[in-house]
Amino acid sequence: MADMDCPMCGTRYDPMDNPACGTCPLGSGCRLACCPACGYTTVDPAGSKLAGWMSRAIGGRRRRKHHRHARAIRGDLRAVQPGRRVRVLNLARLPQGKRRRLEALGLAVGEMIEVLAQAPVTVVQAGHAQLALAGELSSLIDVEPGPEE
Amino acid sequence: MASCHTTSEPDPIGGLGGAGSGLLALIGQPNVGKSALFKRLTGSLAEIANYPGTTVEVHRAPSRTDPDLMVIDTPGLVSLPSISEDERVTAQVLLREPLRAIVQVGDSKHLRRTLFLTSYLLEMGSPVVLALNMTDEAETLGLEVDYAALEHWLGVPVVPTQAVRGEGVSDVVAAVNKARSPVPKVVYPPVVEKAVADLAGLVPPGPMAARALAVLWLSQDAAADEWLRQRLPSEQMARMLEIRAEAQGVYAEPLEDIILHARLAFAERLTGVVSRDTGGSGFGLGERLGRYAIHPIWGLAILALVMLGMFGFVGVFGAGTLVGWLEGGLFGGLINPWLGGLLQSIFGSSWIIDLLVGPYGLWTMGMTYAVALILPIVTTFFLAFGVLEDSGYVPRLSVLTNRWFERMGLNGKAVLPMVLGLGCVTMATLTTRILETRRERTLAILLLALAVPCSAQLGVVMGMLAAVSAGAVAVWGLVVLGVMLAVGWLSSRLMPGSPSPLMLELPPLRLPEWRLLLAKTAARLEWYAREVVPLFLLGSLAVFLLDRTGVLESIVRAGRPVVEGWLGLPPQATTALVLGFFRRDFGAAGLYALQAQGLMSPLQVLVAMVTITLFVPCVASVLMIVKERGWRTTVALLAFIFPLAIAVGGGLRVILLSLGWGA
Repeated sequence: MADMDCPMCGTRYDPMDNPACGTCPLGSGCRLACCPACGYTTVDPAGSKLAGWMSRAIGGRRRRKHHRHARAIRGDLRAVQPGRRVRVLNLARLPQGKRRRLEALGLAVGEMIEVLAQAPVTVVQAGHAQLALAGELSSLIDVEPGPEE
Repeated sequence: MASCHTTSEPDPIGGLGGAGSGLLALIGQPNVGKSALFKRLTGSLAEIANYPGTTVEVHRAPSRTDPDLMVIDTPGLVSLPSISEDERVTAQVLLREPLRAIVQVGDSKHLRRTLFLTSYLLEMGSPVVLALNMTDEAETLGLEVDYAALEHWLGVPVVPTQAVRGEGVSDVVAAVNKARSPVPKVVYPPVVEKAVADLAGLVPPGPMAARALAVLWLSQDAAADEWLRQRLPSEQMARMLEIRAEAQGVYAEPLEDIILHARLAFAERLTGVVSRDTGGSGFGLGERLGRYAIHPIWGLAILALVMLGMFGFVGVFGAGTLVGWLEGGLFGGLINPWLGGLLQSIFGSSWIIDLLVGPYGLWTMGMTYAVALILPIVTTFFLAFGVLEDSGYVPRLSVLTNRWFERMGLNGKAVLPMVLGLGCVTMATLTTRILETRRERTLAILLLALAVPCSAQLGVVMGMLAAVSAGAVAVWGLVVLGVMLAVGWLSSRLMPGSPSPLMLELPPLRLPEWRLLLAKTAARLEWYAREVVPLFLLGSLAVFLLDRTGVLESIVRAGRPVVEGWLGLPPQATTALVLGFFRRDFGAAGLYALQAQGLMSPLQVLVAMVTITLFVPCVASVLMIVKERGWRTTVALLAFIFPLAIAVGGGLRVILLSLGWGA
């Protein structure tokens, strides 16, 4: 998920790393984020499907393009459009166990992969293997465009 | 490189035992054809499936060619240190079993990945044979492997195989007979090599070579650590920890990563030397279909078609046509009247008649339910389910349903036990081992026990509800699915921890091999006959005895407030609900009989079906839950499930009555 700006103090932070309501027993599915600088709690529009549909419907392509551009700079696999070939740059942000498993399955740093789908999960072709990864994992894999991109 | 490998002494702690003249372990990554090769080597009707998780237990059987040689089929192992429970089982086999040889089964399409695992096995000390399987698929993709060169570089026999067709299997047997202990091939950085050598001098002798054990322990493998702690005094363990800390101090990245990358580099180099990609045709239609099967829209359309096909084959043909012939024609029209008359002429009117052909008779209830009602349904279901498994569709279903399962605190992998649960919840409970955390396994077992009807029960339920109306089928489906989602959602929030994100390999979509499909169906039917039929007979006997001693009447009386008052069912339904404690489908079959006699209204049928669907599946599945999760969790699950089933059933009745349904 992309970073967001705090509407109160303007600090840029990752809502995934800063969930609100840490003490609430029902908090694990909560979409509220808490600004690490000022403590202001707000909702992250990027995490809302309804907000996504709305912005596509009213703001359309320009916003979406801007969003994709922002994600492309960050270079995570989740943001790559299906059909594109990319090179794996970094797996270090993945949990250790998952990273080692992916490397053993053939998705290693330097490897060229093709993105086959981004919904319902990310599906990539790595060599002759097809691997399905939850968005939560593919957003932690840094990639760069392949030679032909 | 020093090795103090000993092969002759069995492990004093643990181990599987029964070695005979030797043990041959089949080891390989998931979905490479280990179970198919196991069947070819042993003739055993083991499960052979296209998704990870089928071989969740270590299967063993004597070799066809050498009855003294025991063959072990291990769960899939991607890499070490082990991550899942499956992998820990395979690590235990390597640690504890004195193996005569290891046959590594590898997928020819994924040579680098295969050789990565080979690098571990070459260190184990036991003779190794590499069976490169699925050579036909590799050829289709244009992959050429120089087997002679590979054999030369590895120093172990390499045999190309197509296990599903039996090709190359005799060569594997011949190779095992001449295989010798290999030399480890991966050389680690000097600091790691020194630590490995120091540790190898400290570890006690065992089935696994000292070098392999040292490397495994350096990589933080939990099974190796446990094995060593059981055998080494604390001072020696402390010395080992010092050596590891010393080596770790030299590197910024964890030692396990240094070791992993050395193995990956070895596999990469060797793959480049012995294989080349000439660019083949790919899997064509299968590949395209595979992509459509995970598409958010087309995938759902394909799923709907698959469900429709299964309903037609199992629900209409199995539960309708075949059951009609067997129950109405063969048993109801011929066998049961003939047997009743025959026994009457022999015994006159004695209790034996009642025991065998009375209302709760072993034959008229137990065998008739098992053979005439349930057998046709499970046969058609097992066939249809086998096609799904072997075609590679089930992992795609995991992808498609991932979001739903995430809402229940699981990930899409949980669809495997859930779909398998439609075949048999007992087997599916075992398959929850493929899930990564204890929390996910407990959650999946709860949902399986609560809301996943097995094929036999599903067929009976569909048959009964189809006779009421399509609306009744829809209400039943919505209530059961709703309860499953609600319980899953709530439990996932109350249980500490979070779901692990989905990571899954999608095997190519392929046409199932019909011989294997039939063999697998036969194996499952044999299981059904051995496990389920005795339970049916036991259930019939229990109900017969309860009836004869008057206890059944007391139960019916005691259960009246719940069965008649709250659920609004006829008093005879109590017997069916008692049967439901043995197996849900046994109870459902009892309700089926009541409906056929016109003793239940449409509303009562619907309420009874919802209630019994939410019961615990059967005695066998309860025992399996005990085995997997222990008594405490089992009792807690049962204490939750039974009252919930009754509450939901009665609540549904109240709601439907207030809506004027069935009035």
